[in-house]
Formats: sequence, structure tokens, C-alpha cells
Amino acid sequence: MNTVQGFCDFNIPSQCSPTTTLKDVVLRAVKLGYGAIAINTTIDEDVLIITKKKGNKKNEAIEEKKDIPPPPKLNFTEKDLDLIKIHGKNVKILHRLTVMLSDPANTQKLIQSVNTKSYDLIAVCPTTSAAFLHAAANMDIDIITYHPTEVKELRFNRKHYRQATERGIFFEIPYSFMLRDSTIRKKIIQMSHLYHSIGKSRNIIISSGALTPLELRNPYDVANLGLLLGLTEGESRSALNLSGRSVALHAITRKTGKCVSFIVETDKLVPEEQWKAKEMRDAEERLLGEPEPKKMKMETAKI
Amino acid sequence: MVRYKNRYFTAEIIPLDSTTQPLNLKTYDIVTSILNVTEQIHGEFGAAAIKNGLEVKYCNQSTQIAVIRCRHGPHRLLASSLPFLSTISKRKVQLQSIYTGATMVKCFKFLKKFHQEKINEALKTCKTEQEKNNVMEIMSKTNYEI
Repeated sequence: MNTVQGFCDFNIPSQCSPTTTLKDVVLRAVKLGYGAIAINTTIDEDVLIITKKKGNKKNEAIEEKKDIPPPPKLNFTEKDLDLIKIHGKNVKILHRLTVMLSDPANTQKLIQSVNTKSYDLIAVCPTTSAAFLHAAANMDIDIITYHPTEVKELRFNRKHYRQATERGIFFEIPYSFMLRDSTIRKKIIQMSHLYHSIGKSRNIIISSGALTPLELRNPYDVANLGLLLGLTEGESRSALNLSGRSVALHAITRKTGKCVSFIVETDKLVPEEQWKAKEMRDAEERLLGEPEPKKMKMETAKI
Repeated sequence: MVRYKNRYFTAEIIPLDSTTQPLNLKTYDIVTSILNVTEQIHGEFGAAAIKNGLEVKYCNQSTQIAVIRCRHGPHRLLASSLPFLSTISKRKVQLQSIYTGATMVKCFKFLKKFHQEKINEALKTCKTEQEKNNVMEIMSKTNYEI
């Protein structure tokens, strides 16, 4: 199984600013040393609301339009791929879906849609307290994120936070909003302090949400931001490193169910993991070859 | 069971301008002026840090006393910026913090003592028995026990 390693940045919006392309942002992130990147597609809640009128052909057409979009495809040239391999060993690029949620009743279509299954990570940005509680308690998601301009006030207590952490849901703090505006900066610091006071900053990941390549920061600089966000040094490092890995693992369990080990046929391994098959073969040979001299020794000892 | 710790600042609000108008204290005005001052002293971080759980729990116009709640931890940022507070809703004031407690009850216990001492001082300045009786009469009309 191909797991995530190294620093993670699970929020690179697929719709970046018009002056740059998504590819530039991704390549910049790879250059900075991120080991895993998730490309984020944000959808509004009205995509999930099913129009109830039936029989009218116009309405049906609208419904089809409003379906959850499939993950964007990235076309890397061979040069880009080489660059990815030089700077970080096998950088993983995941796809992530973020839903702006205000009413907990609208989640049915999210689960049913076929396109949802093609995303690796699923995140929710609750804009009301009711939506937050529903997301923390019932929804099968990986990340609960925070949007400073859309969300007005969230109220939750320690019990709800613990419910979410026990189910393996992570709370995201996007840092690139902090670079843009003073009031938004205050809001994000306030929110992360709320996470600190209510849940002791358990299960936190820090990600960028960068629209341009210049908004991305070196992972070590981001870890230093933890001081502002009420995290200790170790916590902020693990918010980039270990937590990202567990988010990715949690996302895989949505497809497989809860598991400890994972079985793959050796012929179907990814080229990066072919060495495992080779090692296995070598080990088998060694095991088959060795027992005979051991037996000889045993016999001589008995005599 | 983990406790959500708070700190309650009991502060005396002293008007500095010459007008004798009563202080028209509103909790919202106090909160905004505290946030502004903290932003001046500790920057955006300070303002954002104390904003969680910041509330004026009690504010009395006649005694000019307010009780401000703040989360334990960033309460030090708030305490260090309180002396710099100079205006509340365009009135020039000075804030004298007189007590920091962990519960509201402790704050009110302190306030009771504080007021009792103030009455004693007032009684000392009285020269005739008539004046003393007047003071006692006025106090007996209020709801507070002496």
C-alpha cells in the first residue's frame, strides 16, 4: 500500500488565482519539500440540494449540472515528473473534496454520488453549529475545516470535540488566509485557540489553502507558526507530519473498512514498491537454503 | 473531569473628565475598548487570544465597578494591557484593577469587603451624628447588606 510520507499540505485549491496555474502551485509545493499534496475542490451546499420538481425536462437538466464535479486531472510533462522525483521521493498527489455545509439534512447526496468515491479525502466546512455537531458525530469524513469569512460563529464543547477525535476526524487550520488580511488573521488565531482550550489541540493539521505559489511556505516555517496557534513545538511538527499520515490512512479505511494489515498480489504492486516483492523472493530463497546445515549441526551435537 | 479555567478581573472604572454626568456603562462598549487596547499593546495575536471567552459579567454604574471574565492563560495579556485603557465610549476613564479571582463568588466576596471599608471611610469623614445617620439611611435603602 502506498502511504503518505513526509510533510503534508492537504489544501491546495483547484481554482487558483487567474495569474497562475494549478501546476505552478503544485510544483512550488514540491520544491519546498512537501511529501504529500492534496488538490482541493470546494463545492457549495446548493449542489447537494435535490430539486423536488419532477417531470419537467428543464429541471432535470439543471440537476445534472449541479452534480458533484469529478476530481480535476493534472497533466504533468515528463520534465515535471522528473522534478517531482528529484526533490522529494515519490510525492503523493491526492484529491480532496470540501463541502460547505450549513444544514445537516443535506448530506445524503454527498454519500450517494459516484464522483465522491473518486476523491481520496473528504472534508466538511460547517458554517453553523448544528452542521458542526452533525459532522463531528455522524458523518464519514476525514477533515473538518474552517473558513474565516463564511463561518460566523461556532459553538461546541469538549464532548463533541472528543467524539470527532475518537472517530479519527482531524481539524484543519488554513494558514494562507492569515497572510491576506488582519481581521481574518485574528479570526483564525481565535479559532485555533478555541481548539486549544476545548480539545487541547488534539487532531490538528495545518495546511495552506494557497491560491498563488507565493502564498506557500516552507514546512519548517509553518511549524513555527504553531506558536501563534497555541500549539507546542512538537504538536505543530506533528500537525504537518504525523497527522497528515493518519488523515490519509483514515481516508483509505473508508474504502476498505477498518484494518490492520493490507494484502496485495506481488504482480500488481506499484513500480515504486517492486523492491518489496524482490526482497520477499530473496528471503524465501534464504529460508529454503538454510535449514539443511542447521540439521547437520543438530545431529553432530546429539552424537 | 477537566475544568475550563477562567479568570475574573474586578476593576474600578474612574472617570477622569470634569463633567459630573454619571458613567453610562454598557458591557459591549467595555468589551470593544478592551479589545482595542489589547491590540495596541500585544498586537493582533493578543486581541485574538483573549477574544475567546471575553465577557463583562457584571457592571455597576453607581459603584463604577466591572467584573471582566477572561480565559486562564491569555488573561496575563489582558491584565498587562488594562492599565493603558483610557477611553470607554468617548469618555476618558482610568481602570484600576483591584482584584483577580478564579470565580465570580470570590470576586463578590471581595467586593463586599471593599465596600464595607469604603463606608467606614465615609463614616469617618462625617463630623456630626446627623450626617452619619444620613449615610446609614441611604445605605439601608439599597439592596446590599452592610
